[in-house]
Amino acid sequence: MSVVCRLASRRVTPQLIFYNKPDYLTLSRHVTLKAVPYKPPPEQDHDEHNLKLGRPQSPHLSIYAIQLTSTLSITHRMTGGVLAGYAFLLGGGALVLPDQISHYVDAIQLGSASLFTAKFILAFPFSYHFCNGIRHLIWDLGKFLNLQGVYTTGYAMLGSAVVMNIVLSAM
Amino acid sequence: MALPLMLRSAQKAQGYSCILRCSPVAFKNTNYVSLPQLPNRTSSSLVQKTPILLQSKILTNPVMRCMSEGGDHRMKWTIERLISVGLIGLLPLTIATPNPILDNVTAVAVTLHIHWGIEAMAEDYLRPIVVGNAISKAALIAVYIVSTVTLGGLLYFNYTDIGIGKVIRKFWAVQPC
Repeated sequence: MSVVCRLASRRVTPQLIFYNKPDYLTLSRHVTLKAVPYKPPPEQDHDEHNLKLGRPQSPHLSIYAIQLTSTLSITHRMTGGVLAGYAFLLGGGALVLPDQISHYVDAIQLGSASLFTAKFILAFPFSYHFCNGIRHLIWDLGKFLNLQGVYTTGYAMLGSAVVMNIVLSAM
Repeated sequence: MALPLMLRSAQKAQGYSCILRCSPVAFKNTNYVSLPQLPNRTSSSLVQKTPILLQSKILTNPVMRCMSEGGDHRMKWTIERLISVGLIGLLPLTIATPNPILDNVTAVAVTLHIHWGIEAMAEDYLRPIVVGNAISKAALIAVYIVSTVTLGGLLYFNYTDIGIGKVIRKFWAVQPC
């Protein structure tokens, strides 16, 4: 049936004498084309374009397998944020609090176990960020930039961060 | 089914050869960027159109556009790493031997490091496509406010109080009750 349709739209006898200027486009295809001047594409992002079309975004974080590489990386960022919080609280506290910071430090009352636990928890972001920061700087020198190296340095970093944290909390 | 396919492909082949022999009237008055005169009939007219397509690609691809804006990032990258390396030695040193000079140098270095860190977080997570233009700009302003408060607060603390090194020692030296 498609054969019949396509044959029906074609000229059966070849046109030998051209009365008008021949339209090559209509002769050659069973659909006609209209040539229009070039209109440049709108200047929009890939993301903007898909948003305007209402396309859903493919799943990413929810489906990707959890790996050491990404876990250590995002933990580095989170510990960095926590340490920034420490500095912001120290600086901001010094500016807004009525008393001096040392006065508030004197007011801390905790048992030895709670004190060790508190120090462990507070120092962990620092130990982790410190050791992983060194790992990042080693990468910036061009070393261990392969998957094996990333995993090896990753485990080494975790070990040293835990040891460093225990040592710091015991001080 | 094979027959219509064969007829269609024959039609197409005939059509393409006709188009190539056409004069490209439609393309005469369009804007090309630094392109030489198009010859009248050539299949390489398709090749010569690619500069526009590449240009659009650079403007629409957000990664490539960001790389073309903002100037040279190399010096900033190097300084970031130098500050990081400096902090490795500086923080233990200022805790071990607290003095006003080290305290203030630590305050400046720590604030710079923190600023670049939270700026990167704000840029990565609070993107215009995700939270809108207003919140994205407000986040960057908030980053600068946090950095300023941190720096000012730490310098004020070093000036009026005991200093960063001593306060960390004091906090760590709290005795259990």
